[in-house]
Amino acid sequence: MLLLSYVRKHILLHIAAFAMYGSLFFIMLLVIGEIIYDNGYDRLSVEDTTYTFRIYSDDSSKVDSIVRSIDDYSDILVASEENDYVLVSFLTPISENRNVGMPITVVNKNEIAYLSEVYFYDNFIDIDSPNINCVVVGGKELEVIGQQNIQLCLPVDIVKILCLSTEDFWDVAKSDSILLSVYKDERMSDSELEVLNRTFADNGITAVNYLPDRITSASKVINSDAVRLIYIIVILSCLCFARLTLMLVVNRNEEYRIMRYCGASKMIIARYILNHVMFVFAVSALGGSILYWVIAAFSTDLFSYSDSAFAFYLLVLAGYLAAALVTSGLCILAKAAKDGY
Amino acid sequence: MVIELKNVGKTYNAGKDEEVKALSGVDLKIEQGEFICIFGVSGSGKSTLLHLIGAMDTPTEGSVEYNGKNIAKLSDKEQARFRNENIGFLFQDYALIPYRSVEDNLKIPLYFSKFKASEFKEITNKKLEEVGMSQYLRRKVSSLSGGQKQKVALARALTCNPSVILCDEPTGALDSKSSEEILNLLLNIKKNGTTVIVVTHNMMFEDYSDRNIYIKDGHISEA
Repeated sequence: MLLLSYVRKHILLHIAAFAMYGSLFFIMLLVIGEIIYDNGYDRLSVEDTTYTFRIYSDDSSKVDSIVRSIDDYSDILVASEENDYVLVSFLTPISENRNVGMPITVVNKNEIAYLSEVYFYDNFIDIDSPNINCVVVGGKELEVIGQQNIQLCLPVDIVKILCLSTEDFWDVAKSDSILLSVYKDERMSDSELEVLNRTFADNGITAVNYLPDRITSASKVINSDAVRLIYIIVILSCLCFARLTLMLVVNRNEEYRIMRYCGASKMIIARYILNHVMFVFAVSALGGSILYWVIAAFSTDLFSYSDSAFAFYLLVLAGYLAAALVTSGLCILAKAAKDGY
Repeated sequence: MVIELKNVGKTYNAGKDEEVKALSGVDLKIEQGEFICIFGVSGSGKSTLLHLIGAMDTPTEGSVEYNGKNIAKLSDKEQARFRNENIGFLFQDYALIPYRSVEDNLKIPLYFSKFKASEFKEITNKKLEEVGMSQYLRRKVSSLSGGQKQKVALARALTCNPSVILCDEPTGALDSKSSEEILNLLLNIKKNGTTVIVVTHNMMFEDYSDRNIYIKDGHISEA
């Protein structure tokens, strides 16, 4: 009753605290969701690893110059070789979650470094889409010849194998420019294309959208700046958490002194403080959850979690509780050490 | 309730460089219903003595007994219960929560008492009436004058019907008129059989008390 009376008397302060803590909880859901489900926030720009190309040419000097210039973007994958085929591997998403990227790998037997490798997200290439069966490299369409399990360095369990005849492949390789295009449900955005072309402009490579304009839709990929922003928000939220904990719970020594005079034992006061922390925790977790699930309901692509979402949610809740207790505990200990209360 | 201090001593930071001997060899017996004034300069040990009598602190030597029971040996929980049921405090700074209403402040000791929540309203009304502040029930403490705050603090000290009221400079922040009102209220409380112990500089109390005790450098002497 005493606690509720206090909350009532400081309703605005508590609303602010709940909003702040709720935001913190929401952010924790996002960040931990990123860690567990790999939403892709950490590879969201072309400059990072959105697209990685490895280029082949029979002119080794050209290959060298191209590879050197894009070395930062290169990623070596184990590629399969078949007798008469150059293989293009599509790495598919893990279950139905966000994937870890989709390299296209082109290799030719007895040739070295003849690779074209692109990382995309699952929204670029949907394994269940009928369009997935068609990939064009240098104007040559590749055909899906099968599907197989393969263990690579990435946590991917299914690989679709597409093939290009050796003859066609050489045609592509010998052309002055290599045209890369992915038949996908959605076009790359103009900015994605622009960055892609800017990256490879000096090497005579052009990236184009395979689909006509009318199929264009907004890219779901978020800029990687969002990641930095999230971490800044987390840090700020933690600071706010500590500050508000001080205001709401710790900097009330005078009240605790009065309670002591009025007959409260140390245990009662400790319980009172703990109840307060738990109260703030419960309300803000509820607020953060509502915010999270409302956004998830309206933006199904933003959070794409599997059946273990409940376990994930509990994990975040436990993490948040631990953070609340540890932060509050540290604030209380620091305050106690400072003024000896 | 008879209060008896036997050879009470209190040393802060015992055994360290900054050791302070606040009280030493205090023997004092206070009968039920007495009005006692304790005089002394700042730092003489008055407040320490009050805290020991009020079970807010424990002596490093001797014992503080209520009806023969040494309260220093009680656990923190038992001491808290003892304070709630038997002791009311009054301070120079009122020790009220300024942003809460008068009623809320009076309820604080009741939360820790054996009284039921349904009785709170009746008790707070009654105690405010006793100090002539019933019309201020809903007022925020911060909007009251110093004299009114001290009356509210006194009403709160009385909510659990204590047998002892401990006052630490109760008129230290008040004008003479308000000081007189507080003195009269304390005398009324004393008339009802409650023991009143006042630690003060205000010599106005000297003429009204049953006994005056002087404290200097942690030692007491009676007039």
